[in-house]
Amino acid sequence: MINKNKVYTYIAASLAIIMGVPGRIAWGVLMLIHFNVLIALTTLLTHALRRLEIESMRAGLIAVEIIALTVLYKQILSIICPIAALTLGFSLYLPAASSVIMTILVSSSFNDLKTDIAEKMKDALVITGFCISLFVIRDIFGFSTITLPSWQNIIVIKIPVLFSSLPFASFIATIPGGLIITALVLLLITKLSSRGEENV
Amino acid sequence: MLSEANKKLLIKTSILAGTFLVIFAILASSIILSRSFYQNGLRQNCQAVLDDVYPNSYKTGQYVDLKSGQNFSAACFKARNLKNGESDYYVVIVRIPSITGAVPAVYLYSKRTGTIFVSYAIENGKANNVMDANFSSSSILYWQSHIDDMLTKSGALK
Repeated sequence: MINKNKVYTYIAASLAIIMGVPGRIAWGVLMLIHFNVLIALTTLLTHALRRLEIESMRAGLIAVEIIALTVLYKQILSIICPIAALTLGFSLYLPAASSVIMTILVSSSFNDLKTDIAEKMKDALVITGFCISLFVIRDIFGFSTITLPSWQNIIVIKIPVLFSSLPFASFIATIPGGLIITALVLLLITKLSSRGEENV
Repeated sequence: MLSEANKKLLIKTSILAGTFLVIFAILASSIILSRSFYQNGLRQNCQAVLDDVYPNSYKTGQYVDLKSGQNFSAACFKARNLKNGESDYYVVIVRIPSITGAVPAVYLYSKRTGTIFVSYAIENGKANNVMDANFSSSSILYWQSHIDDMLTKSGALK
């Protein structure tokens, strides 16, 4: 069950990842790979800075590392899948600039590296699971496709149109529809989570 | 000579400075190396869209530098009409805002017809009914006129 106090952190992270790009699974996969690598490498940097005893510059160095990693990731995308680099464009900088990255990463308490990485990746995994489920819902119900990133292209697999007679179905593909679906899914998860805590 | 504390500080600062230099070198080389892959990949995407909408009609050619901030959200290539042999065509792939988010769209420019919208670079499935020219005409038309200006300012239309 998700921690109630972290719900707002998860909302901010998810919005930064979901809202900037169309609701195709391919874009979701690419954004979330970037997000998870960012969390993992920045946790390693935090521990490296602690070892070197230069924690006074920690916030600035983390910011530099986040931006450098994002620029490098965009160049790697330009080589692997240029159409993704063109479409994602500045949206790649949204999770990097999102305040949730700093909130998750710049924590004052320090454990050993293994525990810290496990804890941070657990947070990142919850956000990843939530975001990818939303991308899947929007792609399948809104576009009636399954899109996957591949070498130099995006694979688009058309699936039989679900609920084609409902006008609401295409609305899920749009940005306002995406926001509404995000809010509904988050409400459901929060309700289930609080009901689970009550039963315990 | 330096005291122990200052020696340690010097070592740490050197490691930090060295790391910055390495990061800068990696980023600079990645930007230079990825340029040709980026242009070739987008050229292939434009060719695929043109072949889909106008089969065996156009062949994309060399990259044209738009000489503007739009280089980050657009790419332009020369194109040749295979049917009449004319070569003063330009195909532009640009990220345009749409009701579903930012999507790559392909436009074709010729002196005779001006800029026309060809298609989106990625299949939109069922969302085509809200993204086609009938429904999303405002963003498609805006970029249609904007591309004329972009090409004029870049000096490609001399």
